[in-house]
Amino acid sequence: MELAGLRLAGLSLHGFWPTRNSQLQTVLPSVCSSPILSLPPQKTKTPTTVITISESKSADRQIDRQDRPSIPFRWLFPTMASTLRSSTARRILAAAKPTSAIRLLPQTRVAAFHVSQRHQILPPGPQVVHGTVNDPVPVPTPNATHGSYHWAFERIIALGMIPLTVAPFAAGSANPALDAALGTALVLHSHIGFDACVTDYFPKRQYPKTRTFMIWLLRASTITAAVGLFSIQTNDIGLTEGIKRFWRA
Amino acid sequence: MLSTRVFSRSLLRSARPKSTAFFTPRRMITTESIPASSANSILAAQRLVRPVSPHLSIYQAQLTWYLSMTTRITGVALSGVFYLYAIGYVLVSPLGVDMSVANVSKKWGELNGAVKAAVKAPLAACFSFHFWNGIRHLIWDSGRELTVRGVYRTGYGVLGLTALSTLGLFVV
Repeated sequence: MELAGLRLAGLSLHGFWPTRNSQLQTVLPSVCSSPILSLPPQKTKTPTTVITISESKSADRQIDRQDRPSIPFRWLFPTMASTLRSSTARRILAAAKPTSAIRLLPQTRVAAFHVSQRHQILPPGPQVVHGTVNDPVPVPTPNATHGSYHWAFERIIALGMIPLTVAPFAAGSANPALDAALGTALVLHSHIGFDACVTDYFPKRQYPKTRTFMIWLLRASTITAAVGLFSIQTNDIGLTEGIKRFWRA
Repeated sequence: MLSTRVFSRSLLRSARPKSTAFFTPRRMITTESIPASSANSILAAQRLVRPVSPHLSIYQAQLTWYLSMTTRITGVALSGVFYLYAIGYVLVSPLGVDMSVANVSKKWGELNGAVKAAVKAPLAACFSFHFWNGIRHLIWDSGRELTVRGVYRTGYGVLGLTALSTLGLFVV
């Protein structure tokens, strides 16, 4: 739990030793958007305690807005210096060195931390924690269907589309067989392209349900589009002629 | 800094115990006992409020990744138009709407010339770019032009060819 608490607190602690009573005081998520401390290696092997001082977050934001080094609300200091907690000792120390409260805390270095804005281009998705930090990364078994065959198939279609798109322009009209080949390649090429987008933008780890939905939505769309294209090819004027009609309309 | 000093002073003042007795044991902190089973959910909640690593906006605009990104965007745009019409052909036709090429292209032709140009020009550019950069990618896939010089040379070539063929398609 101490290790977990260490990660929860979002702190990078070097030379961390468990607290005496093994009760690590974790920082609650509600205050975790505040700046984060990083510590230099402890010189003395004293137990370290994470403490939080409840403070209004408006002051925090105000300081950030002024572009000043933020004052952390989680201070780390050795419990050896527990005498610091008495008001008298603090008053004495504060009188002796009144520059900054942070200076009072030995072996603590404060790193200003840039808190990112809330509205980003790509905000973080839902965070999913599977297992522990010590679990090895699952390595997928090699599969040529998802690997080299898939890659080669993509390229064959793309390569084939070059003459198929150029031929109607060159000939001025479309042979029905060429038109059918172009339509087939177009559907496959589009499906593969959309599928790559789904794979990239809906990671299975973060959006398992949305990804499944998008995959099936894409499959349904591709089949429907293929049916529509087949209908255009057989009952209507065909793909190439149709594009020409639209373009010159 | 003055504000820092004032702020830290006020922190200490607020944390100071009311009692005047020396060495009064007082804890200025609030602790909460958390079961180990809630570690994952707290971790997940905490990760959500972490600063996000800077991404797209911090990279220098370079031909390499701009063209790569544009290939996908143009491809999605072209295929999106194709899918929309083909799916509409299947799904809307049964509702009594005439989705035949003859009818829809006639309606389309009756639109304002500026509107048509505003749709056709981007479509021509999308097709041209996707076509030429697709060929560039296939050249890479064959193991050629995989140097920095080659990447830039082919990249500028793609841009030039795109400009030409966009113009050509537009006036056809």
